[in-house]
Amino acid sequence: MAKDERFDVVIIGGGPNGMASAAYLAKSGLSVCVLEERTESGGACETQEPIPGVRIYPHAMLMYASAAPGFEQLELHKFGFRMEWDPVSPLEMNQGGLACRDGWRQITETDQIGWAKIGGMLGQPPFTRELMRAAFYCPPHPPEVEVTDENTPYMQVYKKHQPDIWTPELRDMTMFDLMDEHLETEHFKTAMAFAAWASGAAGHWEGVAIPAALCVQLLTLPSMGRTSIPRGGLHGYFHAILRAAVHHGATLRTSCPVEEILVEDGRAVGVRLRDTAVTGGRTIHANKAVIAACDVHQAFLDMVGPRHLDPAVIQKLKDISLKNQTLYVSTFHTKTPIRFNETFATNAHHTKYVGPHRQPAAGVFPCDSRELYYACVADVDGHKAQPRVPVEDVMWFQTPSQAFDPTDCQGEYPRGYISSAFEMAVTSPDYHLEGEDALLGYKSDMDRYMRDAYSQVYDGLDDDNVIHHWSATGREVEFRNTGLIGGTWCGSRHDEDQLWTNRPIPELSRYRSPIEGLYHAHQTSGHPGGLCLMAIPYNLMHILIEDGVADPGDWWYASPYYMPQEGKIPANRR
Amino acid sequence: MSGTQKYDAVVIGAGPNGLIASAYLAKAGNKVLLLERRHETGGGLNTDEYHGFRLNLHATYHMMAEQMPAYLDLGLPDLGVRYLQPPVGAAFPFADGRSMIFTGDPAETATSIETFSPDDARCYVRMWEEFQPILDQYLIPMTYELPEPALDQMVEFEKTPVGSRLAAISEYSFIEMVDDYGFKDPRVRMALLSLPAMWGLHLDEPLGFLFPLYLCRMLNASLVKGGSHRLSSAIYRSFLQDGGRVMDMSEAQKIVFDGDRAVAVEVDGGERFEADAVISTLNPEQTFGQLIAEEDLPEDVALATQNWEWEERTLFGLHLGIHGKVGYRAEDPRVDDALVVLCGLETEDELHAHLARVDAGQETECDWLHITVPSRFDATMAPPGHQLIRAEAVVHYDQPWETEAKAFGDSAIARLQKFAEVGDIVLRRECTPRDIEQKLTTMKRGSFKHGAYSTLQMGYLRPNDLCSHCATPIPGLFVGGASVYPGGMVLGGPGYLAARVVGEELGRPIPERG
Repeated sequence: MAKDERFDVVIIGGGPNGMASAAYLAKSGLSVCVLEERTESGGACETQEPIPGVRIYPHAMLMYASAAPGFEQLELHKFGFRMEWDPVSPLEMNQGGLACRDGWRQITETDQIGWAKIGGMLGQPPFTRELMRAAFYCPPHPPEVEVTDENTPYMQVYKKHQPDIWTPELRDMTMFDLMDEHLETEHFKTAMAFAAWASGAAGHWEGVAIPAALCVQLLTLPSMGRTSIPRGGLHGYFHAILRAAVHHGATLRTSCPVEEILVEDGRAVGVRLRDTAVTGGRTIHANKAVIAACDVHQAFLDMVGPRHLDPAVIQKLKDISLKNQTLYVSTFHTKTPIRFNETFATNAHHTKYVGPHRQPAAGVFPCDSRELYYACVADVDGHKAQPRVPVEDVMWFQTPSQAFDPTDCQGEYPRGYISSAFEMAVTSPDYHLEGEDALLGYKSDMDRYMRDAYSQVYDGLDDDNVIHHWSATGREVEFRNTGLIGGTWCGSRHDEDQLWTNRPIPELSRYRSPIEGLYHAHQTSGHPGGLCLMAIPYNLMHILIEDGVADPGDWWYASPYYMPQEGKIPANRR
Repeated sequence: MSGTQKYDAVVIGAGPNGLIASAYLAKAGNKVLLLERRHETGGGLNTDEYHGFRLNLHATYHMMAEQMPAYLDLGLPDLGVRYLQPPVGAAFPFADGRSMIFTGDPAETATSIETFSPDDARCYVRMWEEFQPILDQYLIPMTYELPEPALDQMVEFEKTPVGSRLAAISEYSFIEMVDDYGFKDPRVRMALLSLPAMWGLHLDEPLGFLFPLYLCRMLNASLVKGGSHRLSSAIYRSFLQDGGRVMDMSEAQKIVFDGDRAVAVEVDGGERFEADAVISTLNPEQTFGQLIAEEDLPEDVALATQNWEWEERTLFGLHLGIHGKVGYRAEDPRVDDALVVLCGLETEDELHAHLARVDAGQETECDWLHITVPSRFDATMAPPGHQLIRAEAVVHYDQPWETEAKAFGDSAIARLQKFAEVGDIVLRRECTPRDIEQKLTTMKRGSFKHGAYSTLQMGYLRPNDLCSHCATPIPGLFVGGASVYPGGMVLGGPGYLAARVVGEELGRPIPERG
């Protein structure tokens, strides 16, 4: 076995956050080693090929990150990154109305204008990108700064560009409050609130109106108003980041689980690998920093250990709530294409996109009223077990990302047709009454429930027509990917207690830790959480510059809303 | 990126050979672009994870492993490649509970053969006394040297006694080989002939030099810890570290010519990549038939391409996730320690009858299985408390796999359960020849070797006498996939040799072997 080694920076975890952090730091000229526990890197950015020629995405599937500065700063286009856009605009789809239990219901111009206004589309010029960057791509303010309406980045943007959105109550609102003020129809509001819930920030949570709305808008508005995915799925996005990192000299080691973060005199000096690690020495020293790009519990409760941390901090970390939904993802392989049933086959705007080679674009079904939404939320939050909402009332959504990737075999596979992906929110496995493995035992019941629900809208999901029903429970998600604690896709809720200066706890909110030289960069641990945004690595860079760890070249630019910490090196000095 | 971009080399296809060729050339200082049609690099080095089971859907056995020059030259140990060699190479359990064990040690193997036939055990020892120097002095080193025309090679062989013996046996068929060494017992003969037959080779084809190679390779084969894909991802990272560029989801559409010279590759979407050297690792029909316009193709290459032969025999794969244990019923516990367990056939006659049924398309129920339990040697291949079984059967391509896959899989499971106790099946995947071809389009008709292994398509004639030195009659165009000498099976030979030839051509040669 090789002797102990030394790098400037050691990063624990080879998911999208760890790898993008590595790319930023390697491009800044530092020697970087990324240690991944699993046999392959990529985290949730995974593509499976269950039958040849058909790709499905069991985890991350849609692109939320289009506003990320990382695309320019890391020059991902040079590393094979390409986007594919849905040929059908959501605006166009919306003209066909939204799916309610009794069929399509139209939305109004007020809905469209209100929604576009919240998303910064109606400014002169539109300020969508600036808004997204303010909300997600800026490190939380330093502890000495009190967060106010005046210095909250998205508040500043609205005040400047769209003052009629800005109100003194905006930061306390729920997304429903916000929509009640600016939108008109109940079904549009319900659909958007549900999409926000599925993206980590629920429509009824106080204090996250804008982050919740923008989570949904990230999917469409920054990328030409259309849903988009990278060619080859989020796997393609991740590999562009990986290639950038390795190109700039980062070392990636897979099958290298970390046992312990080494702390000497209150400073993180490296990591010790588990005996099962395949490559390299058992101890890897870090000259400048250790970055935990893994689950916050793993990092601070397991790898650091209690003797280096204040018991109060440990307790607060243990208390981070995982109580949120997790998504149950289904992909169907059918003998004949699925089609809208009688109730829904009436609408030309939708049916023209349905057929052997086409599915409707992202949609939420059924979205009659917020009562349905609340029933689903209550079911997931309360029953802690199998879904109990009747199948005709349960809300779900469909994101047929493959439908517009020309390199996929969507609809043309000779042995049938692929319909993906159908998603329903279910209880996080950690909260299952019968234990976290119980979901696996109920899988066939769950699959049946899902198909019954989806059959409220589509014909063709009957046993005779379905060749394969590929599904992934939250437990399977967690099993494969330790960073998705509780099976929750965003690691934890994007609620008021878990965003901005509160994520994961105020003491750790600027990606620093109580241990000098130890930083964190994971969706569970830092603002703005999940969705593979490439935001945490960018935000972390500000802090590493402040601490003198990183000194990037001219390609670097800081967030215009960033506030340097007193006594530190400002990251926006250029 | 738009417009035209210039590289020293553009490599088509990111399977093991494309990756190796690219990584070597980048290490030597060349600017290299690697194009891949799929979302993932690795080609047949494919490992898919389902519910914690890591399925090697294609390549599993690594037959040259650490002998492959790329292993050390590209620093693969430091990049996380670990080979695991099970204590037993191959085991043959019989219906009566007895079994025959083959390991890398001829004496140990002879002890096992002795319980069936003391005479054959002596033949086996004598055979290896001849094979070992043939392998060490000729066959293994030749794997990574450019081939010579048959006549020149024979002259070379005749210079030493070991070489003379190699020259003599090279013209034998596999059957003549076991005759020549005096094997008599029908079970021993079945076992020996199975080792090449399990790869679809024809036992009456005069490819005698392949016999010691296949015995040696199969009895010393390894698994890659964590799955075969880890080998490819290590080479991928080696390539990236040396400045290589990878474009996945980029299917080559056309090789662009300037006069008679290949100068660029165009991918779907119209992007064009210029290069001093274009290396195709695809099969000859794809390289010369699909990527090159008819008017650009020299007549002799066109003719050679038309004559390229595919195989009728291919493989059916069955992957089972098991809750609980897997244990063979054989009396000898070493059967459980075997990398591959071949079961279902008792005698040489049954082997010939089986292959005849396969060739006639009459093998509708699985008679003969080659089974590996990767999780026995590598716990990372299955979740705790579970095992992963990979079983393969030699089958004919032209069977109605779309409708028959499940029934054939059922019969394979029944066959398996005759020889092994198997816990609850919690995951099941069939991989038919049609699936192979659909996923990895270079493997037409499920031919994982990119074309038949026949006397007219091996050695200096692979893919033909114009192209077996990686250069082609087309200036600027090179070949380096499994259809090129020394062939497929993840030997890493064609990619290595292509890098050597192209490195010379570009003036930045890859390092000499140390």
